[in-house]
Amino acid sequence: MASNKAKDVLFDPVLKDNPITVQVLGVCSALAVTTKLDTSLTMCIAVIVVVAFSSAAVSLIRNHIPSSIRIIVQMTIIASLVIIVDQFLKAYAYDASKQLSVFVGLIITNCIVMGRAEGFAMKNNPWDSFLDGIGNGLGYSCILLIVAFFRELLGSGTLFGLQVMPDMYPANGLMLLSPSAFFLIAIIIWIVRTLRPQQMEEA
Amino acid sequence: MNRESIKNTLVVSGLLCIICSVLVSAAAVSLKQKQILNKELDQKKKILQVCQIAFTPDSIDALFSDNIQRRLVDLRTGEYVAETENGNLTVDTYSLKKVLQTDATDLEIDPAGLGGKRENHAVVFLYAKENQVIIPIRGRGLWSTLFGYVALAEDASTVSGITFFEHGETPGLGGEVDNPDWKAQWPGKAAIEDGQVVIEVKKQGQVTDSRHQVDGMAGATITTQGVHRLVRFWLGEQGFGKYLARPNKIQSSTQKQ
Repeated sequence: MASNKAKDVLFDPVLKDNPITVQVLGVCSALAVTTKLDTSLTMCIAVIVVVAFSSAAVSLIRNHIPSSIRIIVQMTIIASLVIIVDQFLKAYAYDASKQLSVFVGLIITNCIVMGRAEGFAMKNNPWDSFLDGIGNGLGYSCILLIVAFFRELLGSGTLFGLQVMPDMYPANGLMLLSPSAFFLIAIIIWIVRTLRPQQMEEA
Repeated sequence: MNRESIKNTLVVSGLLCIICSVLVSAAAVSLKQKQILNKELDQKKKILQVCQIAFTPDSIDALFSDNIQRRLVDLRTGEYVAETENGNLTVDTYSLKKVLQTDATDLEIDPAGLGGKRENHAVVFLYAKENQVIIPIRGRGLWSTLFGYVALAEDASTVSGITFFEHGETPGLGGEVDNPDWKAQWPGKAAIEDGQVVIEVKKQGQVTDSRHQVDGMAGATITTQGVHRLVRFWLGEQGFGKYLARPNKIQSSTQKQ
């Protein structure tokens, strides 16, 4: 039973309860960093690390956090983790961190991280919270990478910086602008909800 | 201890702050050296790019030290100096931020949008083999300040390359300042003739004189104007004009060493 639950906690957020397509959280950064696959991948890893460790840390001290300051406590933990991740990126993935610029810092305000800390980690044990964080990070990453795949392919004709479209393909500049990510996320949500009608909100 | 008591609240928040600040500062301090190296490497890469020297990630350091010299210039006189008199910065410790705080001239007219202040000292790069001088440039675009380098050849009369290494312009529009295709039209343009800055960046499709004019970016009128103003500012009298007008920039620099 226990292992079953762990598996559900880890994989549910990827498809069944995806933070972007079902809860429509974290869309802001999904618009901003998805023009290229390699920057998106860096962003995904950063978010997975932050959400997993912040959930675990919040869960670890959940029985000691006074409810009057619990949001501030969560924010402090998340903010510290984000700064640490940002420092690591600047040291070991300089080019990617330059392209991500402020958006690494803005993980602090990513609703997914706060949502998991408040919604899951405050009520569950550290290990489940850690897995839940990874799962939600993966769910976010899936969508981010799908969006980035199409934006880079259609917008620049490349994948991971390598030319894949034939030379005569005219790069579509609209795909590099933020609105195109709106269209793509909307299409993805549409497809997912058509395939799994139970995800639709009641009108 | 009661979880909701004032005492517990203070204890939890105090401990949390201490632990978090220790972790954050440990990360910042231990990674600082590596980050500075990355920044330097990135700057060297940009200089090699603007000089059109081919490099691989591993050869950046070697190629840079073989080909490029750095020198500190006093923008008020146009002369080479060993260190700034204010703040005592040398080429190795130069920091634009520090110089702007302690060692800057107020600008009455500020066409490049520098916030009314121009540094008195700047670091230039010399590529002696090709007789090129590389100067740092910066100025306002639409959303952001653009930072870049211009390489000048033939005693600073001709542009031989340009690059922007930091900007926050709209991707696909103003962000095209970074596009190699757009930058490719710069080499060979006349920069300074008879002491006058002659290069211009025109609105897209309005180039009439291809020796002096660069075609702007489509859909990015303001960024194009920004680039026009900032390039002319830094080449002009208020920027590196005095230095660029000086004869034997490369020879006198090698003699001194």
